[in-house]
Amino acid sequence: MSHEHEIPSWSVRRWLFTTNHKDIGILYLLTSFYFLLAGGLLSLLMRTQLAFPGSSFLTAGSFNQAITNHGLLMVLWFLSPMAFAFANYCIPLQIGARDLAFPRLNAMSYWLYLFGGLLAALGFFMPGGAIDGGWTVYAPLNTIRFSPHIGVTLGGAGLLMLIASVTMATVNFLVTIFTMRAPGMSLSKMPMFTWGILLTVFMMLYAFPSLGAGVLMLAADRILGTVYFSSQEGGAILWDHIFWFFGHPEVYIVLMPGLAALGEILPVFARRPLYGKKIVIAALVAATAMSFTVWAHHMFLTGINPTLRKIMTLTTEAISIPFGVIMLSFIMTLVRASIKFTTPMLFALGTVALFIIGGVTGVFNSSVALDYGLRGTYWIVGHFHYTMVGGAVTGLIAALYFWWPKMTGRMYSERLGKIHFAFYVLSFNLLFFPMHLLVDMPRRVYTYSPETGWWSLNFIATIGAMIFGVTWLILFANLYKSFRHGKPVGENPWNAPGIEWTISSPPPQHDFDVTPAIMPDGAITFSGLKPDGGSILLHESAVHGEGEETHFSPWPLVIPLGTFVVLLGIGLGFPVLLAGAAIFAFAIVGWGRDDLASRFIALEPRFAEGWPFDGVGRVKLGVWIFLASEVVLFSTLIGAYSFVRINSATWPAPGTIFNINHGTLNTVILLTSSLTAVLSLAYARIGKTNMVKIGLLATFVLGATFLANKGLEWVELFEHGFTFGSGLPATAFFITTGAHGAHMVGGLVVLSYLVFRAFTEKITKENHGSLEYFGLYWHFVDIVWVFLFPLFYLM
Amino acid sequence: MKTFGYIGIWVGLMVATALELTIIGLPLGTTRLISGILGLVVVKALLIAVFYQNLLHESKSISSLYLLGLVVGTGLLLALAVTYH
Amino acid sequence: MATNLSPVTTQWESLFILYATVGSIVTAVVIGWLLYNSLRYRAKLGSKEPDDAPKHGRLPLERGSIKGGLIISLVVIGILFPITLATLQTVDLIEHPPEDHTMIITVHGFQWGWKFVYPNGKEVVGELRVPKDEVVIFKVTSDDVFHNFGIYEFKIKVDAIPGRETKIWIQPHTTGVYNILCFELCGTGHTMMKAKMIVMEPSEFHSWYSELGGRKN
Repeated sequence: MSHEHEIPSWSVRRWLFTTNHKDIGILYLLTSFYFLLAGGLLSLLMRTQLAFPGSSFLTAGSFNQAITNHGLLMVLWFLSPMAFAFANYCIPLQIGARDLAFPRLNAMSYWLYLFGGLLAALGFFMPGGAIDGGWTVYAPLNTIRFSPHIGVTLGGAGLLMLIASVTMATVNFLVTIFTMRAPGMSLSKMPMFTWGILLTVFMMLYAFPSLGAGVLMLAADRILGTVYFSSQEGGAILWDHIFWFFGHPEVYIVLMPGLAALGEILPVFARRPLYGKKIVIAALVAATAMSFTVWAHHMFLTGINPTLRKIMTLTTEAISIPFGVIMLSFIMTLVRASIKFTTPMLFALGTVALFIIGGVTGVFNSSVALDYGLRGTYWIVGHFHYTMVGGAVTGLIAALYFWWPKMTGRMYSERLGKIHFAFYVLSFNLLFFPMHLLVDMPRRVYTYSPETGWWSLNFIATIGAMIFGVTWLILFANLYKSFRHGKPVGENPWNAPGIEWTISSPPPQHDFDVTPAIMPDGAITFSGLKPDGGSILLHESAVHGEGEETHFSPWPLVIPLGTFVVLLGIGLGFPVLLAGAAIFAFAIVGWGRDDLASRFIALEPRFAEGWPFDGVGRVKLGVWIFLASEVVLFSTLIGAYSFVRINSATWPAPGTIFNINHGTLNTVILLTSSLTAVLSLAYARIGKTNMVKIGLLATFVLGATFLANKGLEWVELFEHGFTFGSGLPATAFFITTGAHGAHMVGGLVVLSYLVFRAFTEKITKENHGSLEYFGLYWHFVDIVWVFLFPLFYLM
Repeated sequence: MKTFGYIGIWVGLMVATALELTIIGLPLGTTRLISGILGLVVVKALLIAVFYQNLLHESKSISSLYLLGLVVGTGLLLALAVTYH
Repeated sequence: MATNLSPVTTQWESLFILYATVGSIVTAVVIGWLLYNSLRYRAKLGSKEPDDAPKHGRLPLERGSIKGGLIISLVVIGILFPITLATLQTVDLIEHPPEDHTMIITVHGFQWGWKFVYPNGKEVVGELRVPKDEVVIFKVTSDDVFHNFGIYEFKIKVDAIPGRETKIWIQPHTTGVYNILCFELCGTGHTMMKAKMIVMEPSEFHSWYSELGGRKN
């Protein structure tokens, strides 16, 4: 045993440089509570303002900032991160892995998330205040003409960091869940919560790049002066599409972890297995797929294609089918059960009840016809708080009480927990139910006149909000008390199934002394035997115990810090930007040097279930998953181009602005660089290292020439007065090919590292993985160009 | 795949590019022109994905992952394109 | 709720009542069933655990049949079917205004107010007058940012988007003063972006309307 190597919990270094999934889980939990408090206080300010008609507690301007940041913080910086706290902490334990696939990337996800939130919140201290156009940040209000203050830009910058964080987390969790499951853990044996996170990150993988593209376009509009969102051909509807293409899956992204946790909590306290686990999984998969087909129900009144609207009415109604199936399976689980009403169980049952109400009101919103009356009113506010608070948050509270003893080794007070539940449900309904009766009151108004008759319902909601705020203090008091004085618990206080309940509470830093395995009948064994009778080598853990020190890395913290300073520099000026870039470069080099010296070792389990990606190495799988998300990013950019082109009355004919020769030359260069890249890999495979060096150098030179030619082209265009602000053809050209060029630059940075490796003889017949992964990315960038070339030069 | 194979693919890519440049000069009409160019683009993208990214010999699951991204992205693209039609 | 304001409003309200009735019944039945099961099957002192209770160190067993899921799906579809039909019918009415004897008023949203342009060129800001019992079509657009034009007593609204034109119609049957508000956050003046709609007897309206270039009021 290696417990003497445990790092004390008061070590500052541990919390800053950790890459351990449990530590990062705790960091996520605490940080999400910080943002919850911030978002919650903002909502109390709003409710105080709305308690009486004609109140002047807040100005219109500060109300708009409060409502915008309340939404952004709660949805993006509280809800999903709280779910990811449990995902980080529990998923490796649930599948019998010792950590996530990429521990440093995981730490980096966390720091990007934290710094992104701080960056967005900095707006409050800037002239003009924080971002204030609603969490949907509709165009063209979000453009520099109507919102000139820096707060909006900072909000966008914060969002970009968050999107980077989410993308990394997505890759990490998908690779972990797909390739690191304990022997014998088939997908059908996988616990419900892990299933929920798997599907959640799948949605994130394909939804967030669309937001990423949208925010990049907005940033270019605001900083460089392009015109995607200020032009009428792009503008409001373009943003609507891109935002809601992300925004509606996002609703299910925040909902699914909590619902999936119920799939574990309800059976444990009902003392019966989940009714129809396979049906529930099928329903969750269906909901995941359908979540991408409903977004235009947010655009019913924008006058878009009637057929599109009718289709989205039907899909939106249809998505209630899988959720209906899940709810009824949950209820069926209770039949002939022996239910223990512990706090997590009460919250789980509460989630089902509240979510049913939110789900039913959701069907109202699927109706194009009813939307004519309901859009933009407090009915909508009531509806989505029943799903996102009643469903998602209540479910996550159940999960918190459920896994708290595992995470701390201590029991909370059931009495306080039950008091919490009673006040929670009461005040929740007091707060949000009256909103359904305010069918006429517009959202996001900072006040209303007495004649409207909206006072009493608003007043009730405000009272509810105050009590609801206090219920969180009850929760925190309970947790604090438990942490200090709670009764110690053993491995399994709930008599629950699942691997995480077979090890001590809290688990040791390295989780498992012996890799667990699952027998065909579901028994969890630590015997060192595989289900097929073979044996697992026992002591990976010995390495791990000594390895804790090498599991610290400062770079996951320093890279986001550098990014933070760079983005700050956009507002504060060039010196700050330069300092940030220096920090960033320093950290990248540091990370690379660590790798060259093998200073950080992520353990790869020798035996693991990998279906359906058996035999695919995890870095390679990670690269492929990342590329899948990149497909959506570039599809969005190309979609934006098509949208503005179709809606523009005129468009420059081929050859009139963009020089076909430049485009053709670059096409030839880039296609050739793909050839040299793929040839280097082929030579590496047969051990011809000199050819590898030549191939990589040629690739680098070709890539650099592409960028130089591109630079030349841009200079020529600028000299002819064709700049960022010269209308939509310019906007589409500079943003789309600029994003492609930025990908080239990233590729060249990695390539220079590879060249260095090749010349220090580190790329060999046996070890050329990095070359292969780079190639996948490089060819992808090439494919993107194959699409861009005719779009901009030939058509 | 052997070196010659990779070079062969490269030649194919060059030919497709040359064809793209040729057909924009032909009097084809907008619809035919666009479908011709899009067809060539798809051929080029497939050549790179299948042979250079080696999808031919990869697990089908990887291709599905990639394809799923394409389906999702194309869905958005189509919706954007038909918004006002 | 006031009734007989306008055909669209009447239809909207009956559709809402249909959804609300179906929704309330579904909610009551499902939550009722949840509560019933929770209470009926609560653990009693000294009672035995179910045979298939979750066990320490063992992943749970499978139970339940796929039939359950199919039946539930069919039930949900059965509930959705009639209300969808009702929705499609209502959409038809809302989106296809009668073609004859209509007056088309162009509505411009701006930061922060509403401007109304009548067919004869008359322009008013903040106070819209329309004749009782006549069909009025609003063509809505915006001069700056995204707004949403809503007459809330009438339960109709439509987005006001720069460079676009959206349509909505009423046929007001009751004279009186109604409220026009903006239903999309459009900046600091969003709350104050109001206008009045006055439904007048046709004769009064037409005498007001023919005062060409009269008081812009």
